[in-house]
Amino acid sequence: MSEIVVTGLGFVSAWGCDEASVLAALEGGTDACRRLPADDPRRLGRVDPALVPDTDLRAGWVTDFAPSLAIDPGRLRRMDFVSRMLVTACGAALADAGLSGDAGPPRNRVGLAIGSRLGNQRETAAYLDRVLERGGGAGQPFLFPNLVLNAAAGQAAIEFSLSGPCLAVSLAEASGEAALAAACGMLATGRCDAVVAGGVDELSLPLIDLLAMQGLLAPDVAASNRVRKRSTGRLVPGEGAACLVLERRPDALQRQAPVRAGIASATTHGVPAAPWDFGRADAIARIFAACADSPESIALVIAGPRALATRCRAERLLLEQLATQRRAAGPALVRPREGYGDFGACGALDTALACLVAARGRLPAACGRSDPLVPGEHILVTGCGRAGSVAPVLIEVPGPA
Amino acid sequence: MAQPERERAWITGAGTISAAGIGLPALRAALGDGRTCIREVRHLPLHDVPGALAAEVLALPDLPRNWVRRAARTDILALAALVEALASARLDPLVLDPARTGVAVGSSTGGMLEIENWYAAWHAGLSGRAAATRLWSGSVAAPAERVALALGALGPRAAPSTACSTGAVALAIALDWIRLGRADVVIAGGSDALCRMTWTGFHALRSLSPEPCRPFDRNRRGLSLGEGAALLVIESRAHARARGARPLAELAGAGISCDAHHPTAPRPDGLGAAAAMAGALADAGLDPATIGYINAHGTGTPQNDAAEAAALLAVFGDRQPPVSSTKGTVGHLLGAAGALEAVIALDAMLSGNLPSTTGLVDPDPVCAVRHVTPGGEQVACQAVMSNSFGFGGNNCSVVLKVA
Repeated sequence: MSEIVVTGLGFVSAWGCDEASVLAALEGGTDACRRLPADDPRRLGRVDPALVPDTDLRAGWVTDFAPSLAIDPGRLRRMDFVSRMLVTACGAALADAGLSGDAGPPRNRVGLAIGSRLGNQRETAAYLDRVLERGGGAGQPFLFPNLVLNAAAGQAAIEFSLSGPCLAVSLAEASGEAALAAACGMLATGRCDAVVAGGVDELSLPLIDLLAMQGLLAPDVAASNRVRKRSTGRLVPGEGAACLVLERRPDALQRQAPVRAGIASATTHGVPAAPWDFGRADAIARIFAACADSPESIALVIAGPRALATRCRAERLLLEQLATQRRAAGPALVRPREGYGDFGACGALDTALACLVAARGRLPAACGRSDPLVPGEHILVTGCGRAGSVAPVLIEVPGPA
Repeated sequence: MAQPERERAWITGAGTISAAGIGLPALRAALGDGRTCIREVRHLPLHDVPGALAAEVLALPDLPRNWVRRAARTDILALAALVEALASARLDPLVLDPARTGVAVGSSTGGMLEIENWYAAWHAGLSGRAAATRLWSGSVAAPAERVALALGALGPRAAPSTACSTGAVALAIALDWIRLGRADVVIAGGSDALCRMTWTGFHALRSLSPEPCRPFDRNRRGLSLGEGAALLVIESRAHARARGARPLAELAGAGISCDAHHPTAPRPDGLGAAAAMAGALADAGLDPATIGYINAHGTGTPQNDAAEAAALLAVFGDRQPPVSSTKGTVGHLLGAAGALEAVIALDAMLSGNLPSTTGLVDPDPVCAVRHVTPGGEQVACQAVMSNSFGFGGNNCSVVLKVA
């Protein structure tokens, strides 16, 4: 039985911002990626129409969340979009875990571990625009503090008075999973008694252009982009945030917290790779498999989008390997990022989805398995990033309360 | 029942690159001379800001071509420190077990300088695919990835980014991995290159000193930015003993806290910083009286130095160990500062030569700490502390002791 459990979840995504919405979207295989309304160019991080001839981009935009529900209005006005998403998800996760207000461990024993691939891109772009146009003396003091990668985590710490360790980490496309690994380490070493772990990333026009130049975007996204590179990929970019409250099992049971799932394993590894590459698929598949003591217990694999060939091949190799080990059919496979849009820290969102599935004890209908999950079965989230960074997370179906 | 003894983390090697030069001897010489390396900028594209100061690295070492292909300046700084750290530890990467070798290397801005250059071209509608390809090395995780690639390390990997406490947090992560048995060897530290964003940002906040910074001085007027990298080789005691390695020191403890107070300003009462220091001492199982030297965060801003002094008073009371800030010599290295200053504290403990605070002439009574005597002191230390505090209220202190 896993030593670390998940007691709270919070979401901000193109699939919605509450459990029911995201679970329904997972169940239905919803494609929430859509074209950005042309009358909302500010969402891209710049407003110069000459530089943005076409804002009609298909992506997993977060457009319908209400940050003011969770954030103090006075602070909300000064908060950047990344921080708004993270603070909203963090507040929801703490409330879900029954840790709102002063409930639970002392706040100096509650930590944060937040992953982000790129942090605040829109304000970085706006900041650099001004410095490039007006010179080095024209930096904006109210923007600059938001540009460091840990700014959003710091805002969440302030908002909820969390004075335990506050870590921000980045590990390419596995940034969300890496944050979960860091959080498990903080609990294992006793640095804190509860950790809000998660990830956040946002979309911006420079990022979309960059992905298009790499030929990574799905054809309809690339075609609407000013670069208009031919693309054979299927990557649809997205944005969002997800937070999970992690605690040691005895602590959670002692305060009678609802255990949503267990974390059987959350680690980071490397495989030989160039900085712009993912590494050998067979090596990645071996790491995926090695994170479970009994790989045959894996009932579901939550994988990334098919756009990234190496990652996709590693997942296929893993599935082939697991299929030979299970007595019945091999594990099912879902790719939720194809529905809500891919972003660097979305491994946290995938892991939160895994916890929802584990908690209800039933796989999505499309997986073709109707019998309930049993305690001890696992859901594998395959964190896989460039430069050979691999951070798989293994979620355990909880036992009876 | 007695608790089993935790695995100990030995520091067996260290490497640095800073405005003082390539390697620890150059840094040691600058500190010993009380010399500042903060000068008018030469490389950073700030030609429209007259008199801009920073502690720039003026020369980079030659490194293997496959290491630096498409690498950002921050990555190259990290790799330069890696070369010295490995040599210092007498560690051949080829004999390491890749799966038991971890990398915890952080950065606050990563390849932002290269991102800025790409963005300037993109802004002008000139960007191309070649430049964009290089940007995959532009994230804050890139130095960790580069170091792992150079070493062939396949063990745990982390790239923390907690602003100015990043380098110290990386050491704390390495310590935890050793204690948890996740790795035998961890390369840990931080790296940061100067970029337009950080310089202009601190300038906009009116945090930059118009002269080389003067930490704890009554007339201090802000911080001076620097760049560089510092990496440490941290091994489990068992692994180091098995290969006959000589320990430089033990990484005995780390404390991490968050002010949860303000995005940029420290808590005036220093409570968050004090919690990190007290946490590091408790983690190391040491009494405050055992600390023989503290390398302070000491940026030279009025608020930071006063808050840190209040925290030191809260933790050490009237038995203050000698304290100095070395940012007057090499500037504030942001994500690399915590690691570089841990190396300085380590070197002070090994040699007994405590560096003084360059630029400190008239100590501010608000910063009533026991400053190292100008010109340095000769003191035998059994344990030392290094403090690092950053934006977002991130505080991290590390304690090193004689192994």
